[in-house]
Amino acid sequence: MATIRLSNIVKRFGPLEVIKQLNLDIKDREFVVLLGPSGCGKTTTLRAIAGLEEIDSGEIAIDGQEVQALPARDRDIAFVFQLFALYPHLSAFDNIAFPLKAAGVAKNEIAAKVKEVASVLRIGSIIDHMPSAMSGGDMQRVAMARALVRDPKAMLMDEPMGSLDAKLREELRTELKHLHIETGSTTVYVTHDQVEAMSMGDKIAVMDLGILQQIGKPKEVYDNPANVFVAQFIGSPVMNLVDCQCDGNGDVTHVVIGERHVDRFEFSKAIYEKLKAKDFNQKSLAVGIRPEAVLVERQPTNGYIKAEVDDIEPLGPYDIVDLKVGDDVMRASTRSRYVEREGQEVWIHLDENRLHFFDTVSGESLGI
Amino acid sequence: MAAIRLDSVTKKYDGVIAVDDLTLEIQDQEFYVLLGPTGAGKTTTLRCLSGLESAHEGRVFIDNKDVTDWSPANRDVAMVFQQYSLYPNYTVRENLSFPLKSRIRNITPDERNRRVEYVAKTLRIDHLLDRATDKLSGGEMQRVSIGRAIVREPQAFLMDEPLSNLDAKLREALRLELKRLQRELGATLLYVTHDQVEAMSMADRIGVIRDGVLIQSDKPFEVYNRPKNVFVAGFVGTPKINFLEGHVTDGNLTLKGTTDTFRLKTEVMDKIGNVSGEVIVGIRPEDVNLQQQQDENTCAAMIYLVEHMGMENWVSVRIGEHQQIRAVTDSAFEADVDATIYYSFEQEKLHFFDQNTEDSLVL
Repeated sequence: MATIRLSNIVKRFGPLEVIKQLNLDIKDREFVVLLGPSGCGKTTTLRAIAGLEEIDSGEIAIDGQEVQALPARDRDIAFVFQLFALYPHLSAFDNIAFPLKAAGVAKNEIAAKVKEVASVLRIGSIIDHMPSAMSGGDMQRVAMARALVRDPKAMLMDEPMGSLDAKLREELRTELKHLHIETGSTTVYVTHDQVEAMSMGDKIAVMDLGILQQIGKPKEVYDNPANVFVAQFIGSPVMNLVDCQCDGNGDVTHVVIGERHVDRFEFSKAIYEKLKAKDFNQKSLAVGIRPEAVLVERQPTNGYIKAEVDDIEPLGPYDIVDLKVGDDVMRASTRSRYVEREGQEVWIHLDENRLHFFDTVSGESLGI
Repeated sequence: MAAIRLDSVTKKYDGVIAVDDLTLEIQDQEFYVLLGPTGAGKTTTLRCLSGLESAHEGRVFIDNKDVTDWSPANRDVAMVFQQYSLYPNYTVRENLSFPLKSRIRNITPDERNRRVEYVAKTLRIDHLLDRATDKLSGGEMQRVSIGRAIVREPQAFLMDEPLSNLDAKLREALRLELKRLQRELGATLLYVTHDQVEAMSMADRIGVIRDGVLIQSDKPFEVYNRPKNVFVAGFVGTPKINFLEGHVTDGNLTLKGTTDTFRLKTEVMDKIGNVSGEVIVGIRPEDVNLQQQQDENTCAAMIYLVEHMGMENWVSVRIGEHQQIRAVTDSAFEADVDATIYYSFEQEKLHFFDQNTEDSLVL
């Protein structure tokens, strides 16, 4: 297995710069997810690593060796696409064995290797089936098996589950990630689905507009997003972002939201001190809070402010509740049926330990 | 707006049954979501209602009138599709007023303008009225499509996966708007989707359909907490409900391939008529408890995978040789693969299904 290093990668399509000075360090055995909306440059980055796309400048090193001038076949990398791309006239076994046969591996060794990888991916029972007789999930398992059986230096995957239904994706995700833990193959995985990224990535690299916005462990990216884009791209429902003003008179911090300046949350003085240390701009300040960090009480509670229930979305395990506070709407996730009806008055507060502050002009987090 | 009723509707394509003796009543001003996988017959049902398809058997009623033999135009229902289908060279205003220009409707220009302005405002596209539709984003285009349906003031709205082409964030926002709009207009709305989150979050009632058969028609809370069979239980909820093979003897539940046995509470046994024998047990991941310490109510399992989802963790564990259970824990939970952990269930939340029919055993 291998390390992958991208240094100052630039890629243009005509006048359009689709990757802008990208730097990315992927460790041996690491599972890195490139996450972003369509057009962010994630697939182009993956194709550049594979050698399917030439870069305009920068270096790509695999295991310390520069490969940007090498053709794709000499990079010893396996690629799994969204579409299954199986040979329709070959059985599952022969599809998986194909790369080994092409490499001239001995017959009994091929059989042993195919059997092993098929058992890990739980396709032993369909090993003699033709692709036309397989479900979508089985086809994608076979495609993955074919990539894995080669024991390549690295695995590159481009939305491999994009065409599968939600339940199957959930199942395959768990298997793929477990497989990765067992085999430890260095993996770069491209998706626009933040749930996939969170659940599988050792690290998530969030991209937008050809720029790497943030890279970190799922928990880091979720708990400490670097900017508004990352904060709102990761997590469902989306993080609340509300314009606010902040003052530190006395021994508390007040965060005031809305035009009326009457709705103010009270926090410890430390919040204000930290904001001041970051030299925050009162005119372009927004507070960010994830729906699960909005605290909701049905009775008037000390330090809480009044809100009105605008909408209840019962999702099953919990409800998502829209709360009107003055002119703003905040979403909270609450216990199922905790909030009873639309129009109900409730009292809300924000979990002080999970507050985020952003500068709305630069979009950057103030890192509180 | 109007109530809608399908009475024993059957529709075949080349002899293959797409909708099978389906009876469905949607009340006036109800937001009804027809939920099912691809090929379940949900779009066909919708098309039978609109008149785009004619049913082989059964009757269709709109506002208590038998419209089975009426043309789509006369049924006065408005459709919104996944594809936007706007006139690309026209402005938003022209697209919105187009359905009102039809001679059959005989609507004065003043009335036309009034309606277009109202709809644009309601959908928050009033600032886009004079823009060409090919200059709009996907979300704006779908708003215009919805607007074009609303402006007609039809008897009912039929929507076929209208949000599927939009990205996750936009879907989340439009879901909410659509629900608000439906309330404001007092609209009768039949909405077709394969996305259980859309169904759960928007519907007054959900109809779960498979192979042309309506399996369960209920409020979201009921569908989630009292699924009629294995299919419904498995289709609704993320992460997916765990299904375990088990055996009930004298009020003890033993999971297949293990010696893991749980003493079922009397009220749980009462609920399922003191069943005994082989069963399928359903338990939602949020109702599985994991703990580091063993006690008399827990059994041992091996950690298979920990997934960090941000607001919570999803933890998969292995029990016995073949079975796997997923639990939802708080986001601070950490454990190594293959480590031992102890699990138990919220007994009140256990579901039991017949092993052969897969129907719920709850009385």
